[in-house]
Amino acid sequence: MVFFSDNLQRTVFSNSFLGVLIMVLFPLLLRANYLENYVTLSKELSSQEFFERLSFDSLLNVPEKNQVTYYSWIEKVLNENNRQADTFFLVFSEQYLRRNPVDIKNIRSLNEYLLLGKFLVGHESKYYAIAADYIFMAITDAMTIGFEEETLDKSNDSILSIVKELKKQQYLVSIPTSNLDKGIHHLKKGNLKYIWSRLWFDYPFLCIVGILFLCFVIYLILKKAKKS
Amino acid sequence: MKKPSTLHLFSSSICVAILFLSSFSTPSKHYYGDGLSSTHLKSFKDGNVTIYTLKEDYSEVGHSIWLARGGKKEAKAVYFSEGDVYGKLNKWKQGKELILTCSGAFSDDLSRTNGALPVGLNVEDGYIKNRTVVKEGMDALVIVYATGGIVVSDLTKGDLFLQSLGKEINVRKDVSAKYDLLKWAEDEKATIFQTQLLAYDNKLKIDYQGRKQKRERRFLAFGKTSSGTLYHIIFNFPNGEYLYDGAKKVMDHLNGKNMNVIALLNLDTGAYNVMNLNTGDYSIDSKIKGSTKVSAAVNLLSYHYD
Repeated sequence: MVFFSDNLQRTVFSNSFLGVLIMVLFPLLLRANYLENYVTLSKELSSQEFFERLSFDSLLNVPEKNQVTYYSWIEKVLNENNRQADTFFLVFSEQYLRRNPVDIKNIRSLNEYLLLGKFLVGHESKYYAIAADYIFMAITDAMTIGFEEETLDKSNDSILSIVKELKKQQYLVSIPTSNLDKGIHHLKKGNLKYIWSRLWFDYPFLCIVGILFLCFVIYLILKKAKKS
Repeated sequence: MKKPSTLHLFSSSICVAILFLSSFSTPSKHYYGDGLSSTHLKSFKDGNVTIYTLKEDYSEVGHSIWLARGGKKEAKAVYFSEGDVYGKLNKWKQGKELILTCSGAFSDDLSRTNGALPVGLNVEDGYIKNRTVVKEGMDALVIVYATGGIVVSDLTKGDLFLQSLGKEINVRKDVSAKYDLLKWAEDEKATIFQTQLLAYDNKLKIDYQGRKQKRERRFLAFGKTSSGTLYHIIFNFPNGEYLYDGAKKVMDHLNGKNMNVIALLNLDTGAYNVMNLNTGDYSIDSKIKGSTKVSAAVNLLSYHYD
């Protein structure tokens, strides 16, 4: 397949718009043929048999572009043939996670997860909701661990935009913050009592030295002022 | 004799400070509490609300507020988990007698995304706020019913039984059960939050590893007397306790009173350390107070009488 498509691109369609278009659509057409053929040929099968015999592997090579179109098309084919699309996507999500374990360093794949999750969450069905939960929880857990183990960069805007999108979907990724960052954050918010209590509990010696130093500076200033 | 220089005086002060502080150091990593004793401070609402001063080695370490549940006159709980919680409290308290308001579970407002969001699974009055179940460290799933009652489930056991669903719910292991719980919460307008479970079924759930940092602590205990009266008890330690020490002291204290501790929860006293008591006695209310104003709260647990 790879050889065939490479050859096709090099020879016949090289540098032509039509060539690029066919290169993009060709894998989609193959998958389309598989699902449509399978649905037509398995009309007599019970629901359980239908899903047991369905080759999810053939459908898991999701096209990089047109991801949502691809999912919508699967849903349409199944619905038109009275097959439960929600059951399909529940199994599909499990298989998708098994085949593509979340790689937090691969931003593109994280965004693909998000697209699948958002597609699923837009439906009013228990199975769709569970499938969406699988996907979103998988990213949320992986990213939370990534931030904890410092393998994820919390200053990376692409990563933060995924965190924001997850938050929008009601999934919270916890990002650990250093004491210094916390201090600056609360200083900006004016939570001086909180800052003082943390300093006092964690660095009592430093607090006392600081107070003594402050007293010493005030003493020197007053002394100088008295002399002049 | 030569008069000591200012610098000499300063360095001497530093030495005195070091000596002073070293007397407070605790090289042992073991719990060293001598147990809590309590003295009655005030009772009101026909004895349904009682406040005690907690002492350890004759020095005051905090307070406990006991709220009786059951019977005609009982304290009712409500929980606001996100957004303008102060506004929600003000709207909700109309026509009610507020007894106590404090910060509840943990919130994350430092995630470089706008607005604080509750940490762990969270539903407020039927509206889902956070679908993320924290897998470790937050083993309490707390359900606040519209009737003002609270039920706590241990997530490590996954044995939350919902009568209306007729089944046990394990939200950590069963995604379908999590969906059912959230759907039920939406339908019933229930409030759910997740927090640290320090003790459950009369057994401590944390060990010495919980002796990391001294902090202000606030716990919510659910205890039953031998006669079957249920109490929601807030323990307030403003002077700094290790989490383990505080929990152990509370457990020993309640067991010493022949109480069965159903659950002991850790409430947030971090940046949003809210605690407001309305006993009508200023000397008590001003003493048992958090460092943060209620208006700045990011979540609130409140008890009231209708």
